[in-house]
Amino acid sequence: MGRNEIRLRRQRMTSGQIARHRNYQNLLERHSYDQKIRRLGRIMTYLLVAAILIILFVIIVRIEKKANTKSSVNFVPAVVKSSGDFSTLPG
Amino acid sequence: MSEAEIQQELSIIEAARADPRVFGTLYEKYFDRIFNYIYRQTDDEDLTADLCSQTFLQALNHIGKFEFRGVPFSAWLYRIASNEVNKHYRKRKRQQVFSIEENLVRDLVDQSWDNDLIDRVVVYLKDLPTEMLQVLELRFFENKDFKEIAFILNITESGAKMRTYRALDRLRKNFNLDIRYDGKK
Repeated sequence: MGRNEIRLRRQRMTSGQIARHRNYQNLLERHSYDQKIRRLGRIMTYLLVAAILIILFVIIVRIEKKANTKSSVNFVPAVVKSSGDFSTLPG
Repeated sequence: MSEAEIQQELSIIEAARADPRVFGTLYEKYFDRIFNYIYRQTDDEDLTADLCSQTFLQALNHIGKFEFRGVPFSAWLYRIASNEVNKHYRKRKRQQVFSIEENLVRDLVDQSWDNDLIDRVVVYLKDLPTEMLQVLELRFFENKDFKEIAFILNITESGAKMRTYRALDRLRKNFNLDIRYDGKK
């Protein structure tokens, strides 16, 4: 068996035979459908990217908030004991 | 194709980018040629109709991306058609069919050849690599020049010449033929 299958035929297909497969109206309809699908796909992609960015933003804000509350809880104000006698202070 | 015809086609393409209905002119002009080109590689009328329609749909969908590269617009259509045919065979994992008009084979060799000799040519063609057959088909049955063949098959011009030369060299050796690059004896 060869690599290809070769068939010999007597005639080339005539224009009349081919004409019944020619349908430009159908092609235009398929084109407009494809364009719609493509536009929808593009919109979906933009929405998806926007959603991912919003989610990332929310996550970052929450992490920052958590970090801020943690640091405010850990903060212990220093207590300075004083004898109440300020007379020795210079000036 | 003359420079004026190429310019006219380019202006149609430009207009078709804004209004797809304009593309109809090119569709009518090239439909038969593309249909015959695909049919020669499938030998199935309905399948050819599908692939041909898909070819023009792809062309119309991507008309915005078309850029003139020194070859006529038809070469771009042939390239899309060739890709569609290859995609079909890759998907189906079937042996590629070449359905050749007998009169074209006779034109290429010698009108006086008997059927037995023609059958031997067919057997010889069966064993040629598919890439070589594609080049031969475009060169001798579609009358394309090497620049166009290179563009259609996405190979270099020297690659197209090399494939043709090798295929013809084998034909000459096997059948004592005297075919030139341009298909004339």
